[in-house]
Amino acid sequence: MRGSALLFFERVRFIYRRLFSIHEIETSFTLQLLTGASLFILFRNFSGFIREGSITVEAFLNNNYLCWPYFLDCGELYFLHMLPNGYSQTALYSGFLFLMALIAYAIAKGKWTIAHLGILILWSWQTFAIFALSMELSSSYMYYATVLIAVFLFLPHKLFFSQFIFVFLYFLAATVKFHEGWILGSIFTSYETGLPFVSDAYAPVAANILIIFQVFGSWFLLSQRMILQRVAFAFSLLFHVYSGILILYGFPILSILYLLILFGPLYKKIEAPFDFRSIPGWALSLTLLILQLFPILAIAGDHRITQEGNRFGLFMFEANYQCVAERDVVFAENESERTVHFGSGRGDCDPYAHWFRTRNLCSRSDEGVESVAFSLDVSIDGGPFYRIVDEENLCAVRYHSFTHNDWIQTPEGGARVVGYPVENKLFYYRNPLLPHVTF
Amino acid sequence: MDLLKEHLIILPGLEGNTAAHLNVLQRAMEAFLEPIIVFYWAAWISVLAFLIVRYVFSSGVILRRPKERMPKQSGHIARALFVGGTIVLVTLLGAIFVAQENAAGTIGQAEYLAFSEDELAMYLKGRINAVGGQRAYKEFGDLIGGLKDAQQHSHAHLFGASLYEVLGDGGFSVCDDKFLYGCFHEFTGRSIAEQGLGAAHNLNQACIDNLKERSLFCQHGIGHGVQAFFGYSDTSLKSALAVCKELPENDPIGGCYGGVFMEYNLRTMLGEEAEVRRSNSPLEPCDTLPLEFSRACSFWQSQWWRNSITADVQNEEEAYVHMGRLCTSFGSHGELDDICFRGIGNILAPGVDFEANRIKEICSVVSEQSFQRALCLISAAGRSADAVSSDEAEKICAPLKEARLAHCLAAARKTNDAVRSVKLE
Repeated sequence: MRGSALLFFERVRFIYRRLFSIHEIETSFTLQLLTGASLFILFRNFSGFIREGSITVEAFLNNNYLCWPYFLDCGELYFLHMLPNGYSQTALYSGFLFLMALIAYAIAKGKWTIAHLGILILWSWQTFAIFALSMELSSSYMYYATVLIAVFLFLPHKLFFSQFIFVFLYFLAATVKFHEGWILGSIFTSYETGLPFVSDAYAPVAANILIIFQVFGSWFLLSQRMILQRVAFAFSLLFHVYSGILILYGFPILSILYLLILFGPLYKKIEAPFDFRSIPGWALSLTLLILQLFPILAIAGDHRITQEGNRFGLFMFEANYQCVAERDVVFAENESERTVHFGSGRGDCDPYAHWFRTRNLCSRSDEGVESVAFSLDVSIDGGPFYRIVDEENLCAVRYHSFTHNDWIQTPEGGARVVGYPVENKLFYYRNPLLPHVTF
Repeated sequence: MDLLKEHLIILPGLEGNTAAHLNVLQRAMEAFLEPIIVFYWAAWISVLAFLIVRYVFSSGVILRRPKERMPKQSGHIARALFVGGTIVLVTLLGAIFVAQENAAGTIGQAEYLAFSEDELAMYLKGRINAVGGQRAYKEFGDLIGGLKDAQQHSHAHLFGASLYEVLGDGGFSVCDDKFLYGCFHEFTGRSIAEQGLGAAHNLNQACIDNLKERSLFCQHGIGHGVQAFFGYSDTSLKSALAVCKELPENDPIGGCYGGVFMEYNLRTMLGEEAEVRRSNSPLEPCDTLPLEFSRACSFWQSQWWRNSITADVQNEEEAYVHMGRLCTSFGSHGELDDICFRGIGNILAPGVDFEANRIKEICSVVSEQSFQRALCLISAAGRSADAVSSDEAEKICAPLKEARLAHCLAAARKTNDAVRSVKLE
């Protein structure tokens, strides 16, 4: 009996090892370092999640959460409570911390299958939380982290595809920058503080150097000519260290770790694989390409303003947003409540986010909501405020993920200019100085 | 709403647009923004194409020449040629695509003029949406080139209306002094008619700031808007004039007051429903207004006569002679009569397409008094100088001599405020 159980366990282990190409990790010091990097990145992400209340029961009850358009009822899955209402969220993440300690131990002991399994469990929770439970947790950084760890976990030819997809994501992210804000540098000069250590006069130069690097230079990270490879490596390293001044540690730490491990002293040119096992890697690359181009090719209007289809791909630092959202809620008793919300950031200025919360208000409010008049004025990169939403009753409209929504106006489609912004401040999260006013 | 103003500038016009200020380099690059974007996309697509081709070849899916037979150097050259050639090709294709996108929907003058007013408005709004206000205004200028000035002016009114509808107050900077300021007239008028009198002061300041000494015509547009805002009764005329009086740096005849009287008489801002004011009394309402307003009233009265009392008179000389006679019936020690003759010169010039000979012919018969004929010529010269050129305007002054000639030439050369202030005794 015991022997057959062991045999079964060995069989499962064998299949698992083959399925996830564990032998590649066992025979590559670079991939072993990448195991440690993946653990560190997940630790960093979970240390943010443990403090984040966006997937708790309280968030659902207070209508302070955001589901993806493809899963609008995600809030009904929430089961965690966060302090001061309960310990379940912190307990869950403490459990994950224990798992992380085990993974670290497995790495130290060279038990790569166990380390891989542990990372797979953590990655699965992270992916479930980001793509099923909360759109608020998603970001370009999370997209990056999820994709890169997935490459490490699932794909054969792990080392090549880790290198290739890391560079490919640089290349895809360049498309975000083919826009007035980046080319003229007004995304930075419209902030009070401008670009760190670069005067406004040179902001367009700095921005265009980065664009050119992302289109052409990033590919030299994969070069076999060491001089070119080292120059591209040094530029990338410098760029990510510099970017930390603006965007803190999250993205730079991930990028610097990957750069050092994959393109640093251990770098060796690897020929692209084209065997049967390489198909998932190429398929993933194609999928990333399609997702990145989807909003540009398939959804009408400037998606920087409408944010439609934005989160299919990378959209980091694509514009300096300012917005004013005005909401007039009429209740069944003929009473009304008017709120004006000033936003300074993508999340605040996303018509979908406003629509989602209004939809919940319309369907779940105890006071019986008759209608919600809503207007949203959005400015990007210091440009005019366009009234992109002006609806008499937002409860009556629907949101479509894959096409342009008629109720969201675009500047090209006749959205009215209602004013002009002053220079704003750059905040890491939401601008605490901007008021939320209820009349 | 004070909170709004604390954090954002929600005011009409361009004032306060501090976040979007561009430096010298940004302005220079802005002019080439479209080609730069096309270039970046072309480069991006080319690199992607190169990678696909490179990886497909190295996969062995497609046969290739054995590597050892290909000299190393030629490989680099081929690669460089491939990437460079693709960038050029895709840039060209992109440029053609963008040019077509921009040109898409443009039409010729004949087609444009065949449109009904509704269709024209729809077309103009579509172009403003598609290519932006500035570009649409330039296209519009090309479309109406060659038309008579008065026609251009009324088309420009239509453009101003479309501009305001699409861009709101943000479109203010698109209008300029072309087409006898028709775009400004309609735009500012609509802004006031929609947003109320608060807009009048903001727009007036914007006129002064943006147009400096040429702000008169822009303020004229404000007058149109103020009158349209109050309506078209006698009482509303007085209310509108009172608003003009409060505006700083306003002209006693041509600015806001001029717009008010023009709108009161012709009701241009009612669009298709515009109907010229009806009255049996040729001097109404000037004969009932205080002197501070009746001066401007008498100046603009001849425009109303030409569109009402003499509207059916085909012969220009005959019409203007009749109007000249009406001018002499104003009284008030002759001051209003004289201003009225200046008004005749002012509408005569665009009425005959600024043809100097026609202006001279008609001014020579409007009055029996040489002084009033001179006023007609001087005023027409001033108007022609604004609309056509000083050289053309100077031709109008030819019949005059000595002091009157000097005043006329000053008006034609825009060297002083001759038409408004000089006493021509």
